[in-house]
Amino acid sequence: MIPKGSGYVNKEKLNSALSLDHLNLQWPALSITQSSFKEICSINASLDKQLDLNERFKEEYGISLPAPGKMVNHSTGSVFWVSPSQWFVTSNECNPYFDQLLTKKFNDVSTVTLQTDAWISIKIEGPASLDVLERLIKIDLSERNFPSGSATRTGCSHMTIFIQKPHQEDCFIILGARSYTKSLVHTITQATENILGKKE
Amino acid sequence: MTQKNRIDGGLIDRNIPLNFTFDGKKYSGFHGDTLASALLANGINLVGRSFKYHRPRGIFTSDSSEPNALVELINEDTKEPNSRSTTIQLFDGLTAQSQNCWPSLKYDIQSINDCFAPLLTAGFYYKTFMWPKSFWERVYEPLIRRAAGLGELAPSTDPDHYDRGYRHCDLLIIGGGAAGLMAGLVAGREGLNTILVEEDFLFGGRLLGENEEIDGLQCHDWVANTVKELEAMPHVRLMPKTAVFGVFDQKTYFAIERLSDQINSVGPRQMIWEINTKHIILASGATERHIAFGNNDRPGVMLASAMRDYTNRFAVRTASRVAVFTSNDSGWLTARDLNQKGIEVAAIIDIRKKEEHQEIAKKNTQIPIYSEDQIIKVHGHNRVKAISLLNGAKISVDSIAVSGGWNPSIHLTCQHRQRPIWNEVISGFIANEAELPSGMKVAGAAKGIYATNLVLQDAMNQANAVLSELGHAPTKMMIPSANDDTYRGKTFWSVRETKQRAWVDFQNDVTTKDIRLAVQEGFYSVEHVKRYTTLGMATDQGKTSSVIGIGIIAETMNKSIEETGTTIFRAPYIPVAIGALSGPHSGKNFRPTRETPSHPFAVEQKAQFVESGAWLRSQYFPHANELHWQESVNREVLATRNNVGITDVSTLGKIDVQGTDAAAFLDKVYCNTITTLNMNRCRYGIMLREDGIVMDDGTVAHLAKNHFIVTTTTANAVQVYRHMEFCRQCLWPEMDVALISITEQWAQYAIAGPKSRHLLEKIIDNDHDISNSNFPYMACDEISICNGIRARLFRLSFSGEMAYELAVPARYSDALIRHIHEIGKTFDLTPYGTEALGVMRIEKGHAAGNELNGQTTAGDLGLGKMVSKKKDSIGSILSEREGLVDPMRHILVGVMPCDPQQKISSGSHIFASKSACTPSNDLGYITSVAYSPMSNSYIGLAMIKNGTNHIGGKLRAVNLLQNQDIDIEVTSPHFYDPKGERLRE
Repeated sequence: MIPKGSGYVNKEKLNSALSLDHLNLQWPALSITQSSFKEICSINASLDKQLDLNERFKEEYGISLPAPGKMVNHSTGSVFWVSPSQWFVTSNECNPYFDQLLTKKFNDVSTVTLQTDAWISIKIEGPASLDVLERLIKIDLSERNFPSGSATRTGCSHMTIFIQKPHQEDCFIILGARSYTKSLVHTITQATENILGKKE
Repeated sequence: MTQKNRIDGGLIDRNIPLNFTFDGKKYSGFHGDTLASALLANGINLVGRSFKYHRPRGIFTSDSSEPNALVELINEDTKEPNSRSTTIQLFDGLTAQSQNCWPSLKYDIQSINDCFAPLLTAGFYYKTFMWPKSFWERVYEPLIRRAAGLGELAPSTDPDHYDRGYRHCDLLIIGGGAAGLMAGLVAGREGLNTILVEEDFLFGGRLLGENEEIDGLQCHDWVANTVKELEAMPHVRLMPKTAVFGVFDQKTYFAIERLSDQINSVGPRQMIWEINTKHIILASGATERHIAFGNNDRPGVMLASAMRDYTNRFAVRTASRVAVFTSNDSGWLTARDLNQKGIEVAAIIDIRKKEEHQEIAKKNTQIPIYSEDQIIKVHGHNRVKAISLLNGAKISVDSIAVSGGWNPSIHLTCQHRQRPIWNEVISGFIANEAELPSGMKVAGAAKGIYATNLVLQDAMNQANAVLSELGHAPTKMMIPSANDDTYRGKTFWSVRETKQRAWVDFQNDVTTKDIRLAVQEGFYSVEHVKRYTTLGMATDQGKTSSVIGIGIIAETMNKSIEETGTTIFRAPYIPVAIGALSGPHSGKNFRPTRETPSHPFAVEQKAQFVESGAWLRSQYFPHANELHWQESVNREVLATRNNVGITDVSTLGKIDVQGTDAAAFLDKVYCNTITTLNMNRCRYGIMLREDGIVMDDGTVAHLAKNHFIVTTTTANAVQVYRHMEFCRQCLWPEMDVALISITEQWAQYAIAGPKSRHLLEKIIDNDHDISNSNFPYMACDEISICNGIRARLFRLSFSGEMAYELAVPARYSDALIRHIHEIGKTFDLTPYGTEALGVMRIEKGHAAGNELNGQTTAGDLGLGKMVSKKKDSIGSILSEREGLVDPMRHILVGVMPCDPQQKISSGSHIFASKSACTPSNDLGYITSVAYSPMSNSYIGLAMIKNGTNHIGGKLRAVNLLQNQDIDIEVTSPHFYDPKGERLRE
């Protein structure tokens, strides 16, 4: 039966596999790798409960829910704004019942939905990252317009993505839909090859 | 061949020689040359043939306004036609050939057209090819199409690839000449985030070809210093070889960057940039125009400013003996510069009176001057040999530098439908500054300001205005000292006394006579004359010719230019390759595709895939012994109906709906009632549009308290989610409801067939009872499988068999399908694709995309009772409109051919026996057709007027496109298990 709360023990017969395992493309000025977080849930403030949720979130994670276009880190992951009254909370620990864990904590002020399997996350890092991304993404990702701690939903070659700028120099994280994995990786790789040449 | 016409000086790098080939012959040039300058350096003046008359043509300009010197760039078996030799930066190994000529450029057989010129005047197509009518498509049009055009497309695929990007700035400066550089300096020094684009591969604009000083430096040295300073500014981005070609909404500008002129280049060849900016300074300069006179298209006739460019910038002697024909001071500058370089200027012919040009004449004292005179005829065929003047003199020359004034380059100011205004002082159109595109300012020559010091002053003023609007103080920079010669010229379009044809639009072979004839024939609007004569409609878009054409129209109609009017410009400013517009992706990657969770497994099973929107879905799984896809589909259907089949239904939209008002919200969105749906139960639901037409259908599963999962069709997943978000955020923001798509989160497999339960019992964990009594049709629950893997089970059936849909987090999807496949061997499990899925749903009479076609109501589909009268929901009131409840509406029915061997077609129209196939007799149409292995016949669903009353009767299915006229029987849409007993077993 479904394990209660977060008491998840891996004794499954089936292996889990994301569509983006082992992504590791390297150029001298850029690396494209899989990003590190393991679980994502959406958390939606119930009607008129946004302030309550924020207070509870602060109690639980020590941080406020971020404003539109922003992300913040907590001790085991991060949280970023997605849409009005909605955030994505990430965890660096693997737990397919992460949604139930959050539901238990915030049930009376929010609704929670597991999103981990819907997304792939790609880290683009290196001095050429902006040059590559300006070929893919319409928004201005320069430091003055998209400083560290920014996160927003946008498009990349007709695919919906989230893009984040973590507190790390020349580093961006793209979250794309799982079903688009091949197309998204292809798009990013091609843009990179157009600038830096074919992968070594 | 040596570069016999190369002279000292210029901005070329003689340390980097480059070899190239033109029309099979090898030549050399230098780094810094264009193909045109290198050809001229090698003594090549004849470069192309004209469009209609195949007249010999030479190099006329030194920039993108070039109408004549178009060539084909070649690389092995590929080529690019209509490349302007005046903008192609010379590279080693460049291969080009002339176009629109056969057997050779010098001896072109089609130049015979020139002999028939009197027959080929403006509009000759419309006058000539009128009879007999049947000849138009079969004879005339093919002939004209074969004769038309300049270059030829390569038959092979474009070997190059292209790129696309997005840039952002505070200030976009278009044009890197004196004004652009000055504005860039002001903005850059004040720290504005600035982009400066220049079409040429060097910044400097006209300054590169001029012989004047700025701040005590030769102007090209001032340019070099300025560019160096701008390059050192981190917030200034210089983009050479980039032309802004389109102005779009919200200050978005599209530019094309020529990364390489080489075909089959290593990286992307060209790139489109979408530039978003707050402010724009248009510093695009001006284009010199010519004068129409007899045989003014002969090779050797060149714009005066272009001749200065080739002399001063490219160090090329364009002629041995030149005549200058001008209406303004520009021609005199050319005479001065050529003279200084030792090139003989045989005459300056100025249309103005002596006193009108005496100021500039003081600087050209050694040259014979013909005031108030005009060239009436050019002698020579493949090259200018002499000229005849109005005064009767004949002068031997091999080149003519011509200047009829300047046209400010205001194309980008007009792309939002703004109309330019005529300025008599400069004899040119300028932008109407009150109607510029948002955020745009015009500076320098683009505004009709030609003296360099005034250009620099104006650019500084415009940049200061931008600074002010962005909250900066004006710059404290000093304006560099520069030439202050004001523009002096006289409006002059053509030499009326000439008896030869005088050319206005070189590329489209439009003469002064064509334009005058068009006016005589009643074409008074500039737009009409343009289209009738093709003036300004070639690849150069009339940059040198349009204004002259307007002038001649005005003269002919005896009206002013203002009264005559003008055409305006649309994007693109210069030709843009389709490949560049299509962007970096081609072939299979032209658009992104979505793969289902079972895709790798399906590939291994040798599935054939079908595109369903962006999704790639398994269409069918052929076996080695099956010769036709129908065999595979029949097998899959029968296997599912008799044993068990599995298919991936993850593509259906899935939306998680939570909140204390979730059920009430769904009651408003669906036309049937959801609030009465018990926990752990599913219900089929229909959404209507506001007008009462069916928008989509799907299921609603009540998974837990205040928690529902709704499904949508694959095609409408995004639309439905967007619609529900609109309802939540805008219509009923007071409801406590949260929505999020879980389409990608949960992989979902439909397991259908009489053995489906037995198979599932092998997978799900022991503590779940899925017996019919405990888990009946339309039940749902959260369960676990395979030792604790979370899953959701829905007892739904699209096939009409006992069936389940099993959902797991997508991370387990691949392992699960393989696991089921392995276990399923005991039960003869068969994977099936969308074809078998479609057959089974037609056999069951389920409406799908073909029936939810934006015209059908719930009642039309036999689902009218689902529209609840007990509550309000979107579309329920309007679904009761008189027209939507008319009994004569098209109603969903089934159809079968009377002869089971006959194949009916989707899209066929329905007619009664013996009635004529006319729209008035049309009874409806077939929406879906499949071969049913259960019925051993083709079956179909159809929308037929008053369809229910036709059930049991016979009609005809007519498909005129396929010459089909088949007798059909009208049936209930439920061909298989009409009572629905199998799915409830």
